[in-house]
Amino acid sequence: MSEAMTVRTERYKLSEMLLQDRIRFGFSIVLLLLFIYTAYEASSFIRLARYLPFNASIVAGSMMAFSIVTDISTFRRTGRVAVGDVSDTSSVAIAAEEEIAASEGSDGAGSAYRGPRTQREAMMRSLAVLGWIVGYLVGIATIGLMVATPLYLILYLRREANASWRLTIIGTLAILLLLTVMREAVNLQWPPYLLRDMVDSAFAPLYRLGNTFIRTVLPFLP
Amino acid sequence: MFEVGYEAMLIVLDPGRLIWLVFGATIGLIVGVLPGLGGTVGMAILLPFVFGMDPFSGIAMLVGMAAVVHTGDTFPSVLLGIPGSSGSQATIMDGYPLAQKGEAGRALGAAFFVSMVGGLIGAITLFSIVAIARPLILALGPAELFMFAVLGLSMVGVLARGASSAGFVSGLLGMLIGIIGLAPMASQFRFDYGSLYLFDGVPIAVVALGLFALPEMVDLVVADRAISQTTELKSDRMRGIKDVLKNNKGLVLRNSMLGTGLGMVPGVGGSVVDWLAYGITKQTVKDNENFGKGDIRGVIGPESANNAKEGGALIPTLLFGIPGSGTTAMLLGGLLLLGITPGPSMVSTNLDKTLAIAWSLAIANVIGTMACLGLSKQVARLSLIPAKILTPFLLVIMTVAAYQATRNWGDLIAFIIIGIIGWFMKQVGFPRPPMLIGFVLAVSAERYLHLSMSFYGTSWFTRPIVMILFVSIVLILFGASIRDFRTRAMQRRSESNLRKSEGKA
Repeated sequence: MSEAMTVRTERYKLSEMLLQDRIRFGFSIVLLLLFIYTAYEASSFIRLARYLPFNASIVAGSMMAFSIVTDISTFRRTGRVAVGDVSDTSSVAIAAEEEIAASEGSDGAGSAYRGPRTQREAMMRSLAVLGWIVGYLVGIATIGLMVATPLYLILYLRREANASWRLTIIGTLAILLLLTVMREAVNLQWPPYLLRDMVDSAFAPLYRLGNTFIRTVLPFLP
Repeated sequence: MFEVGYEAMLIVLDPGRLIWLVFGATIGLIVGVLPGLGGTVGMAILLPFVFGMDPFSGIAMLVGMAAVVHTGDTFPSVLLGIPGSSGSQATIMDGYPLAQKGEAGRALGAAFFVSMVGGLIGAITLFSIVAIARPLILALGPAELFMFAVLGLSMVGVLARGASSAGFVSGLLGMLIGIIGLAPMASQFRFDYGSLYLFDGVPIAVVALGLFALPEMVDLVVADRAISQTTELKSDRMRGIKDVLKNNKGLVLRNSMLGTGLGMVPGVGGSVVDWLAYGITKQTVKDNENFGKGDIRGVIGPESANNAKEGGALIPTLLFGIPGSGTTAMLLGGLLLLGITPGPSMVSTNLDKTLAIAWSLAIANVIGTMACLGLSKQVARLSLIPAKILTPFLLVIMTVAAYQATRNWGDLIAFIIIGIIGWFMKQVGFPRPPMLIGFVLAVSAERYLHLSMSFYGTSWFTRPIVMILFVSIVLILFGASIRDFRTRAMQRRSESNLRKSEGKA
C-alpha cells in the first residue's frame, strides 16, 4: 500500500487545502455575505414585497453557514471537502485529480490529456479565456460589434487556436455574413458603442457595399 | 366533429397553405438551433407576414413555427451544452454527456423521435379535449397554480445530484435573482439599485446562456479538446430511435401526457415542463445512478414533454385567451390579426380553425422531425471540432443572442456576471439547474401565494387539487427514499427467509 493510502490520524491544516477546496470556501463565504446583505436590504421592503426575499435570504444564509462549518470539519478529518457531484468537465476539478494522481505517482489522465496538470494552471488558463471574453465585450462597447467581431476572431484564432489563415479568414467572413443576413432578415440589433462616429466614417464605404450586396441577394434566398 | 376535423385536414394540406406551414417550420427550426433565440423571436419574425393573409395559411405558418422550436433547440443542448431555448434546458443534463462520449447521434435520434411523438400526442389531446377542457382549466385557481410552482421548485432536490444542501442554496440564489425588479401585488422595486434595466428583472435567456453556456465554453478551451472525448462518433440516430421503441415506450407516453397537462397550466407550466419531466423521470425509473452522466432516458424524458406542451398550452390560449407562455402570447396576437378571437367560439363557430391548428401542429412536428433527423448526422460532427476553433464563433452568436433579450447593455453585463458565477459553481460542485428553476418560478410562486391568501385565507390548502398536488410533491421528494427503504426491507426479509431455510436444513 502506498504511503498516501495509509490512514492519517492527525487533523489536516488549512494550509494543506487544495486550491479547488479554497475556491469552494471563498465562493461559500461570498454567498454567505451576499445572503446577509440581501436579508438586510429586504428588511426595508414593504410587507408584501419583503417576506419572500427576506425569508429566502435567511434560509439560504443559514444553510450556507452550516455548509461552511460542515466543510471545515470534513476537511480537517479527510483532507478534502465534500464537493458533491462536480461536473466531469470542470477544469479545476480535473486538475485537482491530476495533482493527486501525480502525488501518488500515477499517470492520471494519461499522455493524451492536453489540459492543465495543476490547479493553478487551470485557474490561469480559465482567467485567460475569461479575459478574451471580457476583452471582446470591451471591444464591442468601444468600436462596435461589426468591427470588434472580426478583430476578436482573427486575434483569437491565430494566437490562441493556432488556426490557419485560410480557416481564420473563411470563418470570420462566414460569421460576418451570418450576422448581416440575420440583421436584415430577423431585424436583430447591435449594442450601441462609444466611438460610433469615428468607426462609421471609417467603414462607411464597406458598410454600403455589404448592405447593397445583402439587399440584392436576400430576395433571392429560398 | 370528425367531419369538421377531416375538412380542416384537407384545408391544411392544400399546397398553397402547406408551403406557409413549411416556411413557419423552417423559421422555427432556425431560431431553435440558434442558442438563446426561442419561440418569441420566431413569432416576432413571422407576425409582420400575417397581415392580410388567409386565416388558415396564417395559422399554418404561426403554429408550424411554434411546433418545431423545441425540436430544433435539441441541437445546441446536446452538441454544445447550451440551451437552444428555455424548453430544452433539461436536455443538457444527459444529452451533453452523451455527446461527450461520442454518442451525439444516438441522443439526437432519440430526442427528435420522441419530440415528434410528444408533439403528435399534444396535437391529439388538443383535438380531442378542446371541447371538454373548459371546466378543467376553470378549476385551477391561484392556490392550485401556487402548488404547481412549488411542484416545480421541488425538482431542486431531485436535480441537486448528491449535493442537496448546495442544491437548495443554489435554488434560493436563483429565486433571489428571479425577484429582481417590480414585486408582484406591491409597489416596490427590489434589488434594482435605480437601474432601468433591472426594473423588469433579468431575462431568462440571459440567465440560461450565462449559467450553462459560458462555463462550458471556458472549460472546453482550458481542457484543449473537442466536445466529444472520442475521436469518432460511435453510434447513429437509429440507435436512439431503437432505444425509444425497445425499452422506453411507456416513458415517452407518460411524459408526453405530463407535458400536455402542464402546458395547459397558464403561467407556470411552460418554462419548467422539461425540468419537471426530467426530475420525475429520474425519480421513477429503475437504475437511475447514471442520470446526469449520459443516460438516454434523461434525454427521452424532457424531450417527450417539451413538444407535447405546445398542444396543451394552446388549450387555454384558444378557449380563454390566456396565453401559457411568451410564444402563445404572441400567437394570440397573431390570431387576433387574422381576425380570430379566442374564446368559446373556438369550439362552436370557429371549430374548423381550432382543428386546423391541431392539424398544423401535428404536420409541423412530422416535418420538423424529418428535417432534424436528416441533418443530425452532419450537425453531430460539430462535437468533433476542437473547442478552441469552435468557441470563438459560439461566443459571437451567444453575445448577439443575449443582447436581443431586451436590447440593453445590461443583458451583456448580466451574461458575463452570471457566466462567472456559473463557472465558479461548476468548479466547486454547486449544482446549476436548481438555480434556474428557482429563478423561473420565484415570481409566479410569490404572486400566486399572495392571491391564494387574499382569496381564500389559510383555507386554500384544503382545496382538493392543492392536496393532490401536495401529495405528489411529497412523493417526488421522498419517493426515491421510500423505494430504497422498501428495497432494503425486501432484501432483509429475503435474507432472513434464506437464513431460516438454511437453519431448517
